[in-house]
Amino acid sequence: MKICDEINTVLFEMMQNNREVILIGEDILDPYGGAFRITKGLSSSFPERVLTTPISEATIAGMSIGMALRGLYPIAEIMFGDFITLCMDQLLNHASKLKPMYNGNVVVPMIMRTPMGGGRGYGPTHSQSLEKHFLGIPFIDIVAVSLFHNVKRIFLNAYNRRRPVIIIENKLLYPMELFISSNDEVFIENMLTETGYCDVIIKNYINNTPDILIVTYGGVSRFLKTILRKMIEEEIRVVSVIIGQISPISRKSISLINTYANQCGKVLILEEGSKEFGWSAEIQGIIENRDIIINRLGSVNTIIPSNKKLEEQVLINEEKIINNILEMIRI
Amino acid sequence: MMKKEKVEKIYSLMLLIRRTEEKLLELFSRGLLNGTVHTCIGQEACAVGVMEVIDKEIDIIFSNHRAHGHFLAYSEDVYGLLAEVIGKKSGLCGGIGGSQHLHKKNFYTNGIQGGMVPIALGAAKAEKFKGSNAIVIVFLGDGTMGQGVVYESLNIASLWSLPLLFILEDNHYAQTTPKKLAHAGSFCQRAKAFDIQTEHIKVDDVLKLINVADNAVRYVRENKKPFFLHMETYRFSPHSKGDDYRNAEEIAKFKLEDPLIKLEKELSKEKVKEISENIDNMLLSILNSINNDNEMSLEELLILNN
Repeated sequence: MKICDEINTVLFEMMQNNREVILIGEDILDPYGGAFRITKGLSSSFPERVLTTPISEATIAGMSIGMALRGLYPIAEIMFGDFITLCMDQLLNHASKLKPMYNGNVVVPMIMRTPMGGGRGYGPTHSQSLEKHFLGIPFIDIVAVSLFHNVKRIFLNAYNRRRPVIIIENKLLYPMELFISSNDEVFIENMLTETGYCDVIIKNYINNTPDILIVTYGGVSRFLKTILRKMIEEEIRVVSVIIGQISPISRKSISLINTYANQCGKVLILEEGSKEFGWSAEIQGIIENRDIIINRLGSVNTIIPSNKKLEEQVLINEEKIINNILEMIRI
Repeated sequence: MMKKEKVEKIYSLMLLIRRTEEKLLELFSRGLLNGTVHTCIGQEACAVGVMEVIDKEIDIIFSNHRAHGHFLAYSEDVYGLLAEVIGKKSGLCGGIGGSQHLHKKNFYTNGIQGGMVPIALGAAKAEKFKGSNAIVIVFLGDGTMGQGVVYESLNIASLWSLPLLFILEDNHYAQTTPKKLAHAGSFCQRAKAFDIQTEHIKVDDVLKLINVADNAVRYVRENKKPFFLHMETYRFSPHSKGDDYRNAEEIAKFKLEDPLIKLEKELSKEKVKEISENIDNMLLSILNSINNDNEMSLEELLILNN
């Protein structure tokens, strides 16, 4: 099943099994079903519980918080991740704070899901990966869908967390098929974190010491299957850890990254947003062994152009990642 | 309730709010409060008038940075409020929230101007969805009317017919900025543009205000529709502390119209003295007790992260 259909299916199941689940967002009604068709069919099945709103992202966030405070479970869609900046005050000063500032006397159980990422020529304000601006906010889980993560488990765990969760969906993943079972070239393992989310470990070797560790999350995972295969030809053993909960980073994730980092001695950390002040810096910071060679790669820290060639040059891509791996192996 | 008893009750509550806040200002001056306080001295009638006519069992209140009056009129929990502002574990929110971040039962406040308005809207949607008879009340100031989310919320409240009562407590100043430097047109006209019924009242008589608030609350509850109530009031104290640049004559003029003094004239001197002494004694005894209360430890605070 395509990732977009996986998300659509889990939303349907959540609504069917829990009467308090409400969807809210812009243009999410049938027949359109949202800009990426993720909510298609849901307003026909649950007409009272799919709320299409005016273009008012801050209020979509605020209403979700209000509904969550009063016993409902809102799942908000922000049409493009670029628009999530309009929700910043509600997420940072309200969603994350209400529970702790009221000394734990209330909960704000909700999901905000949004597509991030470039590669479709949408230009500077419809292509960004802005999640880095929300990383590090306490009391909010930030989780990313990847090619290798069981999508349903991400959503169901988010629901069970009874707190605000932001789910980042890279829009290039939507039409892809999930890749969750090992094949002859790529071996997949799931590692549960203490918060109930999963990290996925993928390897292009069996029973041996890896040469390099790649740590990443979300949309960048789409390059890994090919990269791991190509590295077999180069006789480079790659282990990659794809983090599910990207903020706050779980204790299990920290220990997993350190274990493989120590085995490899070389770590490449990847993100689709610009790496400046980014997630990869935080991951670098949690690696305890100071002798390990660490490199970080993201997209170029500039505007994302609409022009196809320029966009390709700005965004992180397979070629840049492979060149980085080869350079690091040569060291 | 007989009129006399009602007047006594309303007066007691208004005086309780005023004395509590005067006490807070005194504690602040003596360096006993961490942070700041925004008092509503002069505006007590707004809080008491509205809370008098709501259904405290089911209705839901969202307030703002200037919430002590709303809170006391809602709950009369003087201990919880004072302990919270003083920073004790026995406070409403363990001393974490302080003056601007209060919660008890269906009462919620936060310190971001206008931030609670879309949240109140969501709460109203939730009540409507659940088919309850509750209404949601959100308090705004004239300064808050500069925020964009207020208009997003007015729009959706009307469009979706939500049981949300907007109460604009217009005290003429946003911190130090007078209304004339911040706002064009009329506040009620803004709400009317979204097809929301409005009412304007000058708050000089709390009993008159109670009637107007009662009509507004009934309208929202019976019609399941929003209502916008513009209350023109005045604060006698500064915005917070040491930031008062208003004309002294202007303040003096408004003090002549103090709704608390106006109500006091309905009561006997003996009764006023009795109510006042009771409140002062209660405040003293509460403050003495709070003195001995513990403060939360960092370890306890961090438990909230789980």
